[in-house]
Amino acid sequence: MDPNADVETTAATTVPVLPVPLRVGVAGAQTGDAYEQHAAEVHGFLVRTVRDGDVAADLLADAFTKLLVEERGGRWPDHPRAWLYRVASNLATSRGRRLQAAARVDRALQARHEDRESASPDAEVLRRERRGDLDRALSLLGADARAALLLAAQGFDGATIAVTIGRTEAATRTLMCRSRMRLRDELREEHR
Amino acid sequence: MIDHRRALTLAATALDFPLDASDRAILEAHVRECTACRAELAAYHRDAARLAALPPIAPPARVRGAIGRAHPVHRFVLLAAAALLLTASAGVALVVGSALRDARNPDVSPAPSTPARSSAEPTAAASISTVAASPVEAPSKLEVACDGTRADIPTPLVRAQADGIHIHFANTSGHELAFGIEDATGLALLGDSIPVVGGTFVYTFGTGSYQLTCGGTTASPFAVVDPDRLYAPAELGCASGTTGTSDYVAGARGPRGSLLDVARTELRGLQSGDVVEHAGYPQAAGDQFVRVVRHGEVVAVLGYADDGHGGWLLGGTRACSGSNITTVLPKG
Repeated sequence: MDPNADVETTAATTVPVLPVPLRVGVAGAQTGDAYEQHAAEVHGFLVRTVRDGDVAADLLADAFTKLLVEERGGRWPDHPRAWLYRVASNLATSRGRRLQAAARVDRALQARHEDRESASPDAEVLRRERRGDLDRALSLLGADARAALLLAAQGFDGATIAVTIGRTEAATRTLMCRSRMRLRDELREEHR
Repeated sequence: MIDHRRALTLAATALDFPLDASDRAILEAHVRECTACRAELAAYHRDAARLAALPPIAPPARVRGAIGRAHPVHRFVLLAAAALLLTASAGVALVVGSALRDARNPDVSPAPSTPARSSAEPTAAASISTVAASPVEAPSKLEVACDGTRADIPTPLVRAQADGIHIHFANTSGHELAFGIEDATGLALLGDSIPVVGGTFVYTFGTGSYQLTCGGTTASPFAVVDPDRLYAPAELGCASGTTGTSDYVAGARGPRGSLLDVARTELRGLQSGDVVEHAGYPQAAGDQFVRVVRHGEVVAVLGYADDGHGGWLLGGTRACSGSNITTVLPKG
């Protein structure tokens, strides 16, 4: 095994072999309900953070898969929305995950995605956004900084964002302050 | 009066973190006097408001179907759970059982076309059991026609192949369609998209009855049979067990060698007479499964992912309680 490879292994836990069937997408299931309530906003967050529609879709599926696993294990989070943002942030800012996604380029899928995007009204929103100054300014920030500002835009305070992105509060404070100032500088440049 | 840079730093910080009383007083005093910094502070708030006004973006339809299979490990867990559910559910067992019985003894009479079942079962499953009575005649590929509102499956029966279950989709909707497959209990197994031109997909779930939905909400039933006994079940034969999962960074390499040899080096608690063998479909692409059979009962199932360089990465382990079987990852 590659000595540089980080391996995270969860502790084995006793689980019933006959789990309660989960109905993703069927009314009543907690994960299905959470998907209805939060998928679009978390997806928007991911699209703007990773700046790749396919990767964002994969990460969203991963985040909800983790939620499904939590539900299956009887560990439903107290605050599913915050939990989803935390998992999504971790996935989006994980270098390994991003590289993994980048290496998984599939031209056929890419073409299909583009077809899908062209047919989606949301894609038009995104396309317009991509032509805007705010998007360009955001693109100049690092993924961590983008995630932090976008989390703030979703109403999370600095302390919560620090926990969410896995940094100390002091480091997050510095990151966000510099990011807001950088964003302002870039937007100012755009308007000159 | 503090310098402008310090004031702007405090102003930017104040958007996300509370300032202490002295910093707040300093900032307020500065912006009262400094028109430029006051304007800059207002601009920070405008920027924040613009970010907050960014709209949600509805995810592609395929995301919903991908939940539960987006990660190889999770897919492994879910497939194992699905297989367990199939054998555990009395109603489903009737359907699966009849199919398997006939498969193993093709000369025996077909199972009754109206087996006893609870009234709570979907009527669709009943129709599957009738067709499943003759698994040897099942086609090698499931033909599905989707028009955007429903899935039409003229022969809702398919025979497992060495690499899995082949499903051919004809798409007459004129646009790409999302589809999903659930087992008879509603457990979501997978989802994907059918290209405009249709296509054939190969999946590795086991025998049993399933529901397929494409481009609409109406589920169409079908059954998978295995008269050639190609599929080695990857479900535990016990009532309770443990599960463990592993995750890896991109580019991680696993031990090289034959899958079974790798599994044997990572298994702990094997007893004399335990059989370590391949599970699932013999020629399946993608994730692979290994099972441990003790006294004729599957007591552990391991899921592996190919690292792309001839190595195997252990993704998940399920083992019966009391089997004392665990797995260890080799140190790098």
